[in-house]
Amino acid sequence: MAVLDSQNNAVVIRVVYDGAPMAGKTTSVCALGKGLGAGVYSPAELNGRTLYFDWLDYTGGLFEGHRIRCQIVSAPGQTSLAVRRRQLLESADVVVFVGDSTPRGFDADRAYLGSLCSVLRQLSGPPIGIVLQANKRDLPDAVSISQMRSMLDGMDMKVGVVESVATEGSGIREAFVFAVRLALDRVRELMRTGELKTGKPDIDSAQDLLEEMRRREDGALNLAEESVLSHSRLRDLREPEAAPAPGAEAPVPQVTLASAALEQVVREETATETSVENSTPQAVVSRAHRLNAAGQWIKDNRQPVAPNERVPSGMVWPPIDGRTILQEIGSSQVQLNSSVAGDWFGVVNDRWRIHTPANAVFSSVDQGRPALIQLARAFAANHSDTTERCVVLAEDGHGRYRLWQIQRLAWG
Amino acid sequence: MANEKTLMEVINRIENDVNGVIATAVVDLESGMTLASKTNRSEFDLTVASAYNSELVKQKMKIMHALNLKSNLEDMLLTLSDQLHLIKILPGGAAFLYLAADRSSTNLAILRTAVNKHCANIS
Repeated sequence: MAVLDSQNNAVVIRVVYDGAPMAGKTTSVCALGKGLGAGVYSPAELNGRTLYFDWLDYTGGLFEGHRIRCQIVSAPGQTSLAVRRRQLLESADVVVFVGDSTPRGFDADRAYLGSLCSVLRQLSGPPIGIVLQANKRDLPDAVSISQMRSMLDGMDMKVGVVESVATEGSGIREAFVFAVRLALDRVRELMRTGELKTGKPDIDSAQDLLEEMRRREDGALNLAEESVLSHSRLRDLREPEAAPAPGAEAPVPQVTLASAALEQVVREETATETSVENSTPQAVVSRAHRLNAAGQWIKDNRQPVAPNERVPSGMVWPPIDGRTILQEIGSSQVQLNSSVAGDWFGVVNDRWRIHTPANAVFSSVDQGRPALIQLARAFAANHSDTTERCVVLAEDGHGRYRLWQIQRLAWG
Repeated sequence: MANEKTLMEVINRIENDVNGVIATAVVDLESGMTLASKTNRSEFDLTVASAYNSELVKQKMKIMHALNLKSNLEDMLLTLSDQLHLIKILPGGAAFLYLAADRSSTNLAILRTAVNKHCANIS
């Protein structure tokens, strides 16, 4: 539903808080509102349960010179209100999924995440990012984050994870700002493809949304069933596991192929090295070299900083899934190793292989961007599934930029 | 980025060391959204200040790029007739601390020292 509201010089995005009943959606939105100094409006509730939505309107930040207006909405979790939940999810630019970390809640998380994906898959336009706000992390029986990641892997979902304790307000703002970044990545994609709507938003207030939901509800009761949102049993939500065809093998990560593509791109870029480097006395000085204090070109063995989710927009591809992958990389310990050739590589959480060739280093963003675009095009042409890999141009900690390729190691 | 609770602790520690603080925020550079904030004057709109200061930092970085400067931006000091505004880029470069202080009751050296000291460990 992102809209560029020229009259108010604002880009309007919608952040939807979703999750199983009692996971902490309303508590999270209220804690966020408290932190942001904005009030939360709930049209109706029964015994503390959300019947329609919670609404928080917040304007902050800047995007391409426009103010960022966030319509923050929580969806009702009760299964009987699945139609309403679906309506809200369909309007999202990003979803913060509030996960219940208790063992019992964990099962519900799986079910609700499945139905969330089912809805989002049917929507057109750039993908809608999801942030899993793992809530109730203060409880002694909270399931581990690695278990949550395993669950997400099993569901083939690429989701950023932020830990929270909503009752204390911990982790709430962090998850929200990360979600806004994902939404802005989507807006940027909409701008690029000319799909971003302009004008006053159709839904400009909580009252507008309430009226719209009531109007649509009459004719939409069957939609929930179609999209498996009106579940009553957990097993109803689980898609049957696809058995491999006789003789078929499990998918194998194409690490070698992808690495080859990256190296090819870098080779081509290196063929047009800058005149500065060509002007040195040495016949060939690659970007893997640097000038020392004495003005001599020496091999650069300094370890680069691994990329993380804080890279600027436009420096990661695919923009939304890529930043989600980077969020996991950035929140993990990354041990980088160097090959004899000067490449840097590492394995993160036994799930991701990150790699940058020796020559994939650029003195500026402008120099590195063509290589990033070329590599992204190569990936887009050869891989339909973009949730298993990303490419990123990131500052290396030494004032230069490195082109990284991140590839999924194994399917969960 | 450190969570809001940790960032608020940093903000509070800075305030304890410095007189005349009007408002402080930790701001996500990319979006201009505040990650943590505290204001001592209700009329001081920290949300707006944070958003536009993120543009200020980005523009300064563009200037440095245009000048082909290879150094890092560490902080920016803006001196108003009655206020000091200090912007400190945090480790990693993805966020910055923005602090506004009353000029007549703030010692700039102490302000800078406190900000540098308490911001050094933010990851």
